[in-house]
Amino acid sequence: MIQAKALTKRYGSRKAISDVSFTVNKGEIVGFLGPNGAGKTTTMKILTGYMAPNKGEVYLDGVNVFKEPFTAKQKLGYLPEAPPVYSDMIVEDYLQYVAKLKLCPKKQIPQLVESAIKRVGLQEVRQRLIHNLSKGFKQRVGLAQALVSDPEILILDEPTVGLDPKQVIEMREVLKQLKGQHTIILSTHILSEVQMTCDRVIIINEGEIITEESLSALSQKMRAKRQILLRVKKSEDSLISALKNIKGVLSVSKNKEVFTLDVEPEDQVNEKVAQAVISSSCGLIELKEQDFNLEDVFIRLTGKQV
Amino acid sequence: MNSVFNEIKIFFRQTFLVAMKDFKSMVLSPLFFGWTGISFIFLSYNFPRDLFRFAMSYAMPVFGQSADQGRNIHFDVFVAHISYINLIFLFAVPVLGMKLLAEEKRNRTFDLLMTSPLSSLQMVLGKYFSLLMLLFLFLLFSLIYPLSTGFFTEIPLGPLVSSYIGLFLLAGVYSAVCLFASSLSQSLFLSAFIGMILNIGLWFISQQGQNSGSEVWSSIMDYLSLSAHLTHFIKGSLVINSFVFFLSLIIFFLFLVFKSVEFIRWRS
Repeated sequence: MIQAKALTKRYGSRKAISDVSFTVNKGEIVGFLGPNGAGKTTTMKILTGYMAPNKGEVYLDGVNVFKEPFTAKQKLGYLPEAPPVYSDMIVEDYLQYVAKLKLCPKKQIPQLVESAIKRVGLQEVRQRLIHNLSKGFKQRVGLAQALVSDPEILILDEPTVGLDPKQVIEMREVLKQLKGQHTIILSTHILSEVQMTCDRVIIINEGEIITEESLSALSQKMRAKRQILLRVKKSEDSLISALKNIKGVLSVSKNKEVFTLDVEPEDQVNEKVAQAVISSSCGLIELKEQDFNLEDVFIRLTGKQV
Repeated sequence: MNSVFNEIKIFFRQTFLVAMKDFKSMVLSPLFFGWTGISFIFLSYNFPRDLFRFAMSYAMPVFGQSADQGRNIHFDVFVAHISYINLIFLFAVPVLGMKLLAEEKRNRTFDLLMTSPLSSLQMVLGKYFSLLMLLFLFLLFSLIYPLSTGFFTEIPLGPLVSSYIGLFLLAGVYSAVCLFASSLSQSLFLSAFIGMILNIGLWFISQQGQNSGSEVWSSIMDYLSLSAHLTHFIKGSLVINSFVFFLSLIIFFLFLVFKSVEFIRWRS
């Protein structure tokens, strides 16, 4: 459905992206993951036809974005990093304007606007001026804008950035509901967002694709080395040797009352560690598995610090 | 044939859509209300004053002249009215037009336009026509002043109409210039400022020529002068040269706006 072929974009002498190629199949949700400045937004802008690459081609449903922009752009809904909303317009009028701009058939427009409002949950603010809406609602209006023409392809650039935690949860709920109805590329720098919503992940760093795999494969890769965080009431050196003796514990490091353990992927290790702490009577306060974050993924995949 | 017709239809539909959206947004803005309010207070003060002076001088002729000698309502009253409107446009059009592209870029709504099935040309023309429609509306209302004198006296309609055609073309030039200024940055203030400088520069370019002393330079500057060309229309003559001049200026600046939008798409 989405095909990017060897995309390269330079800004002056700086290469923003280099030889970026990937394919997204129909109905898939793919996370486009990378730290800030990795080239995510540049790639998104090229995919949407906003700007042209120096090299390479983009096909949306088989249509070349730069050779047939009119046809390609009708298949597309795009939510940029900042929602492209006109603050002096009423939500409903704005969505109608976007539907007309996307060349939706005139007769279907009221129905399409209605459906976008419902899907994103804008019923209560439909008659309000966009200027007066909260950031979360503005973001939703932005998403409704991308959805209003009922496009086959959705490209969402950092849809939760700048929202408060409650709004982030609401936004993710909306994204989850879109699953299966559209082919989606979700650009983000938050790994958990990808874990919650995506089938597959493409990781980009310094303008190049590092990896492109399913989420389960990535998780497996990450689980090859687990880390356990342990906090005790009073720390004793004898505990370190006790922990080191446990089968499956690879290394132990200590910082005051907090121990960090690198362990093998088997689950039983946690239980043994807990037992060791209890029998040492150091007082177990906390034992938790370290979640892997984006930084870990990068270190693991590139061997470099982000 | 059918598909060509369809493409033309879509071209105009999209252009009109953008134009109407921006026109509505400008007409409903407090800026427009403020501007029209102040402008019409200014015109309402000056027009009756000029008319009264004209009537007085007509009633009490200067020694040695008969009552109607050298007196003409068009040149004594209407031309002043037209120059006031020009003065208003010089400063107001950059302010009205500043947000057309600069604000789109600043608020990132430009992304929406760039990723919609809308060509750069449609976007530029749509924006341009929205401002032009606004100025047309203003001109239409400002016609009330000269037309209202028709209740008391006979008005020379021909020169009045040609003057207004000239003024409309001039408004077209100002709009194109200000749209260009708006395409240059994301800052509204900077856009308005550049627009004003360009407009004033274009307007006073003939003065530069006259002061230079060189005859060739002076005649070139005279040809490039907006005021010289507007004078033809004010005198009631529809000179092809002046039409071509105004239209080519409009096309030139719209071309620059188009290039400026395209630059964003193709820059590297």
